[in-house]
Amino acid sequence: MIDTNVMDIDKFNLWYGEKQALIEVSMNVRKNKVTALIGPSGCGKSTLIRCMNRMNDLVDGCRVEGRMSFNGQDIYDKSTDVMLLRKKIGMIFQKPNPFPMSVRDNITYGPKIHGVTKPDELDEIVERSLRQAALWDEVHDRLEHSALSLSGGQQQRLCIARTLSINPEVILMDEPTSALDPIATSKIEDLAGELQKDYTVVIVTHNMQQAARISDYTGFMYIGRMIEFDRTDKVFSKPSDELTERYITGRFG
Amino acid sequence: MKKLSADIKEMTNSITEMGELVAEVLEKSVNSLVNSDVGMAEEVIRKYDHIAFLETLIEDEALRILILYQPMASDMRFTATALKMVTYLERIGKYSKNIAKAAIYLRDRPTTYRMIDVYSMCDVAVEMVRGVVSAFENRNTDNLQNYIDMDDKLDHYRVSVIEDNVKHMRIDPTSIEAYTYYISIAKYLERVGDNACKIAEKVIYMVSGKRIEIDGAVRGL
Ligand SMILES: Nc1ncnc2c1ncn2[C@@H]1O[C@H](COP(=O)(O)OP(=O)(O)OP(=O)(O)O)[C@@H](O)[C@H]1O
Ligand SMILES: [Mg+2]
Repeated sequence: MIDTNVMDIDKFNLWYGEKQALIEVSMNVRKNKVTALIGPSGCGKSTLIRCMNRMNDLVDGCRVEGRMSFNGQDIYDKSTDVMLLRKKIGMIFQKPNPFPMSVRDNITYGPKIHGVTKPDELDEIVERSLRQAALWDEVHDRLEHSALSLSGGQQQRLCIARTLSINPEVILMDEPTSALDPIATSKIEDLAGELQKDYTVVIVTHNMQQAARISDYTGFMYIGRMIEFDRTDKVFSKPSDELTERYITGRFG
Repeated sequence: MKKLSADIKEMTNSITEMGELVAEVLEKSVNSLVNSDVGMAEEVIRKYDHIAFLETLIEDEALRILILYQPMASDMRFTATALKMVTYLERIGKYSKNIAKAAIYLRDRPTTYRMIDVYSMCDVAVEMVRGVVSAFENRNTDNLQNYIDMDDKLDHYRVSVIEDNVKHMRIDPTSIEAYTYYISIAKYLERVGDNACKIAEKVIYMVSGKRIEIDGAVRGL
């Protein structure tokens, strides 16, 4: 089977005011694959992943150049409906950020905004999303409890469920497990593998073993540039670039 | 990761020492045979125990590195090679021990067979073992290029040892058992060559990341 690209990024540049944070970045995001982004702090991973659903629009003085497309359509074209783009490309953050409302309301919030009103339809979405996020068994009997009463790992999976509730195509995760314990982390990792059947996942991580475990493709970034982008097994067993080699073997700086 | 670099350096030294010991023992096993030197054969058997001990020791150390550092890229290839290499070296040690045991058996059973080809096999096999050990130590695979030829040479000698001994069996059936021992010895030496080739493949993988079969075919990455 030939991999198809959900996203194509071609010579993409980004400036925060005067400071250039992404320099001629090119990469593809393959459909139904997990793509990991690694690199030292400040290299631009979060910046890049946030560009993918235009979260950087919210940043003053942020300017982009180059092409980034989603299913062939330029994400930065004037005609792009940003609301729709963010519906199709959801984002999970480092710190779980459930809304201060019940578990159920967290899930139904998005679908309601997008026009779903029938209670049984919403119930169905709640169960499906929580099951896909591997959280249903743990919370099905306390859907009316506050989401803030869940553990950190459960909150993170709730955020994933919340993202899934509006049927995205791509799920972006920015260090989704860095605030979690090893058990919660391994649940999220398993989940990333499960999700890839139906979704495409892009994940930023500082944990190289995690990138190696769960991703199909890995991009290594350094000071705003994409130094190497290749199949994960290649990157971690025999990287092509000396910088990548030094970074992943811990011989940096 | 200064500690990992230091551990890798140390393991390189341990494996190099083990490899040199294995080459020494291999050479001595054939010398003990040719010179009917039971003392030397016993030394080989004793030293094999130490080789087996080193294998476990280094294997434990490699597993420790895997657990502690979860090495990546060249470190991962080094550790994987180390794990395989000690196994192959131990086997070569065991073949040497078998040859030494045969030497002890054959001392009291003189025959008319002259072991010229066995000697030649030993020279080639020892050279191959020393070659892979130094390639590993120096991370330089230049001298592994002619291993296909050397392996062929061993095959060729082995066939010749078998033919010679079968001839002797016909002429001198009372010593059939002794001649089968020589045939086994040739088999051991040929296996030593195979194991040296396996080590060569691993060292090439360690240095270049390429998976090559010693018959020359690149399996690709
Ligand atoms: N809103 C912003 N305004 C100005 N500069 C920013 C902004 N966000 C990030 N930067 C700068 O852009 C560069 C890339 O930052 P980014 O957050 O993308 O790095 P990162 O790879 O995600 O790092 P980390 O691993 O620490 O999360 C850094 O130099 C950072 O200081
Ligand atoms: Mg970041």
